[in-house]
Amino acid sequence: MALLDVRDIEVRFGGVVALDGLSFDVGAGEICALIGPNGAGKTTMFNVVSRLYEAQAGHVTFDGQDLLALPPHQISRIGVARTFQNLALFPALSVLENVMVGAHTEGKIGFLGSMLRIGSAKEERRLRTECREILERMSLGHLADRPAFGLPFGTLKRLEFARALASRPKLLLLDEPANGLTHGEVDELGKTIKHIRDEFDLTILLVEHHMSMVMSISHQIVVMDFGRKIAEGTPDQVRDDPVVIEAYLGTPA
Amino acid sequence: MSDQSTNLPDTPPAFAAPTGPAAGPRGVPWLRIVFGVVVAAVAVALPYFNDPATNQIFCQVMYLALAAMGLNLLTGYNGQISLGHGAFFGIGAFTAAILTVDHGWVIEATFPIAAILAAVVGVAVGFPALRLKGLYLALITLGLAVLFPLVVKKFVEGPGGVPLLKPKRSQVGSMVDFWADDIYRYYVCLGILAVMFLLAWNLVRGRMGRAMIAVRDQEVAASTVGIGVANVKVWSFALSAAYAGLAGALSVYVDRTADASNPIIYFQRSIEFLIAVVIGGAATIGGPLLGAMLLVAIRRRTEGTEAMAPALLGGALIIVVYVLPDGIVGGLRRAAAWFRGRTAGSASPPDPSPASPSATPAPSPN
Ligand SMILES: Nc1ncnc2c1ncn2[C@@H]1O[C@H](COP(=O)(O)OP(=O)(O)OP(=O)(O)O)[C@@H](O)[C@H]1O
Ligand SMILES: [Mg+2]
Repeated sequence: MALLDVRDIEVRFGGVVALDGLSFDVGAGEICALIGPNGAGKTTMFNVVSRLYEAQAGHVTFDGQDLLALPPHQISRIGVARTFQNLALFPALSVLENVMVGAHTEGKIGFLGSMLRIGSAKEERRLRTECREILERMSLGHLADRPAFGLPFGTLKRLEFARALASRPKLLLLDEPANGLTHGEVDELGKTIKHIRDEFDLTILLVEHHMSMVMSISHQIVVMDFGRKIAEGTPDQVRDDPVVIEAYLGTPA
Repeated sequence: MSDQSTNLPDTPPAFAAPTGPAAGPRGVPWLRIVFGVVVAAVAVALPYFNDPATNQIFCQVMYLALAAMGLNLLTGYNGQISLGHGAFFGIGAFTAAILTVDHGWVIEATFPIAAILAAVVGVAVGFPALRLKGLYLALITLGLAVLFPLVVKKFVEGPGGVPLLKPKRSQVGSMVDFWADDIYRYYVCLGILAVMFLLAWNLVRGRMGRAMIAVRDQEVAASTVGIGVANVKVWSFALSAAYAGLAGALSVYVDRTADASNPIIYFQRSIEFLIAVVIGGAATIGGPLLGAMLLVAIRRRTEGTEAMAPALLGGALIIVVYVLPDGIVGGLRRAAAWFRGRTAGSASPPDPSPASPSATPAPSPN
């Protein structure tokens, strides 16, 4: 069975239909790309899975559970992590602390435990070590103790990636991770995503406009336009689909 | 292709001063240790060199600092504004006063009760506060501080029908022979202050402290990484109220008065706490203490010319907002960073410490 199963999802904002009966599924271990012109509804789909937006109709099943029945802060616990298209970091915290917040669900110490330091030192050390390793993995180790504030956009995008990994997710949603990177860096990121998927045993749902990267790392591609799925298939199938070419050329993306 | 630039920050969170650089593994911080030992030695020796009236003033600084720390946990670290902390302070004060005056308790034994009662009321306020933000939250909590004396008036009747309770002098006396009353009280306050500040320090640099800051700066992302936002906010309220309540109980211990005869007294307290936090440095551990010191110093200078106090305080606030946006502690930190930069040449990278952390775009979830 698919790890993520999206069925007939519909989202409206007033008169705007952002998602119009969207269905697709993502098999365990796959990298699935969600592509489409600006405003197609890709980020909206992420926000439905994160429970930030309510779907007016449809179902989302993750790992056999009804995902839409959970509150937003439970989504991470069942194994779904994400990054944000426009960044949502904690500027006042250090780079390492940002990742440690990402590992929130990996810890247990509550308010009183923290204050009285009951068991907190040990847990804190463990989290710190693990998060440092993730930072090293994302080539951010040298920035660990810097505040996140003021770092370049591309670095912050990688930091968000690292923060998402810290919760040890099964499914990772990446919203335009290559945004703001140079061409060389985009290739690099594509490789990183593939390696990370293997190392962390991940399933990835990827929104990205850089077609070369999408084509080279995806197993499956879902093409959207105006909140609907207009095509679906392997990179080779999608590349030559006239409907897809039409959608991209017909819209100033 | 896409447009991250169209989606730049919503308003930066109020009082969101950046926390200090995480104490990295830079070897033993000798300077800090020496500084800490000196401060501790001075604090311990101080009451022996002063008369009882002066020691009482030091104690006032301490309970003010404690209440300000409570507000700092809520407003500085968690981003929830409260003008109602005077009410929590008052709850603590009247808990201590009623238990000692009417029920003959040893006053020290009332401290935990005062803290717990304030925390319970804090939870009761924290839940509706979940639905409010910024100015609305400030207004509602302000109502709390204004209402408090009216409620007290209904239930407390001191001598002469005034809602004013005074424990007897013997009830706040020393419990040991070798310390005079004022010195003893000073050490009780100092011990409580040290413990409560240590607890706060433990909290803010641990898992839940990070969660509090995450909720303050980026609620959406905080919930996405699995932080129970409502839970963190209500806990912050309860803890914060407990600090204020404990401070209120200490005020009765130090000043031997719980007074609700003046209808705006607890509102004034609220403002004092907020000023102490802002001037000292929100979201810092030292800030509330420095702010409380400065506040009491200003109050002393203006004694007798009551109208001067608001003017001086207002002036101090304006200076802070324009010159030291992250308070005295933030200013000291920047000075230290600048100084390190000078002495180390260009060896260390420039300190990117911001005045406000708003440059990292905050998302609407998109
Ligand atoms: N919170 C919201 N309120 C109103 N309309 C919204 C909201 N979020 C999204 N929309 C609308 O829904 C549609 C889909 O937007 P969405 O952000 O999902 O597109 P996208 O595919 O991610 O585009 P891009 O490639 O530019 O990121 C757009 O018309 C957008 O204006
Ligand atoms: Mg988008």
